[in-house]
Amino acid sequence: MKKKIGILLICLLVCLSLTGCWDAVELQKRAVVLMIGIDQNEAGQGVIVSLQLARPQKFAPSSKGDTGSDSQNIVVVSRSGVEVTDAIRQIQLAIDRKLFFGHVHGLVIQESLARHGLLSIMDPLLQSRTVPREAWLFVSHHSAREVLKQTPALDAIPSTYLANFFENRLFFKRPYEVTLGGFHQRFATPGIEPIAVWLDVEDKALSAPKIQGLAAFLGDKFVGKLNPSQSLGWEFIVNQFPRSPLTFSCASDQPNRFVIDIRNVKSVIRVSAYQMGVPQMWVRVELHGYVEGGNYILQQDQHELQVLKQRIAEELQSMVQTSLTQCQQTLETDILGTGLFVYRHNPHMWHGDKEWYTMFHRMKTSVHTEVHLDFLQTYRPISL
Amino acid sequence: MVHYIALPYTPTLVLVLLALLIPVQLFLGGFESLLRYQVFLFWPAILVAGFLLLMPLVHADFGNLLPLWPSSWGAIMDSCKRVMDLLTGLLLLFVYFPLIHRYSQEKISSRSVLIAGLGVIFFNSLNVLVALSVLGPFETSSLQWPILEAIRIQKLPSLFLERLDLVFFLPVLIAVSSAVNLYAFGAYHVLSQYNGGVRSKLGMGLYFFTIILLATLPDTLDHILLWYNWAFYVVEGLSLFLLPVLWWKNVLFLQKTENVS
Repeated sequence: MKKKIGILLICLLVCLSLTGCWDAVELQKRAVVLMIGIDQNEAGQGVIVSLQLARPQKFAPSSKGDTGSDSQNIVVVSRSGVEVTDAIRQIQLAIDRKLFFGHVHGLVIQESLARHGLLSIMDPLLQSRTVPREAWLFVSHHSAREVLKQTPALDAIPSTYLANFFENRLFFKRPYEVTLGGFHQRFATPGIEPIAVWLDVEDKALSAPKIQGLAAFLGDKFVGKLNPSQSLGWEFIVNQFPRSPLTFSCASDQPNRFVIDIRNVKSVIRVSAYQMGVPQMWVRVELHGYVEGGNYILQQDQHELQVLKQRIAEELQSMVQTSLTQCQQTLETDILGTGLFVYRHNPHMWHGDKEWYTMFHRMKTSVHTEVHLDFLQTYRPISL
Repeated sequence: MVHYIALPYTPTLVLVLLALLIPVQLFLGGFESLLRYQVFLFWPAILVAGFLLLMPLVHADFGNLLPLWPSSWGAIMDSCKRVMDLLTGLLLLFVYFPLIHRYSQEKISSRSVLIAGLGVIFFNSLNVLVALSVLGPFETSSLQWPILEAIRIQKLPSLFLERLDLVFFLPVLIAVSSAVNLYAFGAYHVLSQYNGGVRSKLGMGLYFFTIILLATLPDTLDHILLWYNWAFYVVEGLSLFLLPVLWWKNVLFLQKTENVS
């Protein structure tokens, strides 16, 4: 009997040391960080870090219909510092709650700061696991603080609004590549350069930041952006286009458009042996989709299908070529991974990123597109 | 790893004390209790680990495994030396040599050891395949725990479970605790032999005291590891020197018993 009581007491004592309760912090004592924004200090030295903090009491629906600044469910706190961790410490000393970074969804960096290099900013955050590797990375033309202040109408949690674009695979089939971990992976891998998501103007109707394309990097330095059309071409080249509808124009000089529900896009990149010291790149993009509709489509026969296929192939070729030109000639950065293809398949031809970039902008490219379509409309076309 | 993945602020001593709770119960029950613990947790650990390791392969980029042919054989040879330091090195001969030598008499246990060895090789190869194909060789080599990071970025449909790296931590904990229990039982058994069966609790106390000292006294384990490495090389060298001596002694003993019979 005594032995049983002793064992019971020991079990109770052990329960008191359970690590789940060891360093628990009540929610009321936490400041939950949803997003982090980093701007360049206007004085030129150091950075300004903005943290988007949640106000959990405002996430619950209110029957009174609050209006005004007090109804906002987030608050943005900014402080400047010599570097990022110093600025975060200044913020911690300015608020009464302990900062909690377990819910950080995104990191927004101002364009002018990104041009100087991201590694010195990201490294302390990644090493200390302040920001998780799976947080989304954004580059903003405007101040990162202004981006963090926006409260989207569609989502109670602003950071979730931006994160949903990628978790729902609306932009990319493999969204990991625009996370911090994906950025670092591309940075560390030879023959491919990192990318991030480009935020530009605010979508006033939704009161939310608007994704306007891709931010391209050379090493860890931001070199320029790809606009929506160029980003689309990039997605087609690297097999990143998700299953979704896309509109195509009936002719280059006509405003009429038709919609294709793209089921699948397969693309292949080949870089052949160097001729006269210049590599040759060959891109083949194969698109499978259903014709959904459009006032341009009058018939549902094979002839019409051929016309649509021809039109799509031309526009696809144009998008891909525009993207290639932007990467090769304008930005001179290999975010397509053609160097990586050479490293993987012809390692004896690979002599490092430096040597590759002396040839990359001179690389000859040829694009071949193939379109497979079928009709899948609700109504038969009515001949007018 | 516990501090990295789950409990960064929990003191090491608390974690060590919790880890020692399992051996305390098992030692008193004997070697059979230890085996029952291993057998009971074997299938849950294998199934959970297997599922979580196979899941990332669905969206992995197998192009990351290229080029297959090494560009530098010097780097491969250098890595082989480091692998020998990572495992128990040439001391493994002491484990496998008796099994090979007595294969005809111990077929069942030899087969079990072979299957276990193949299983270990399979899961380690799967670990390497997952880390390389998901993260690529360059990111994998720069991360401290690449397999955990590769599993952490996976998402289950409808966010049924979020922290998959914590779920993966469970079979890892089971494997580590199994190994710790075996080593601990070996140490306890050796100490108990010198103290006698009645005073076996003294051996257990001595073992736990040593573990707690190692967990509390040094600021870091770097110095301990430095001394441990030297001690390990010395023991390895002595053992290899003694191996032919012990074999020759065994041969002489067998000849003597044959002459007597």
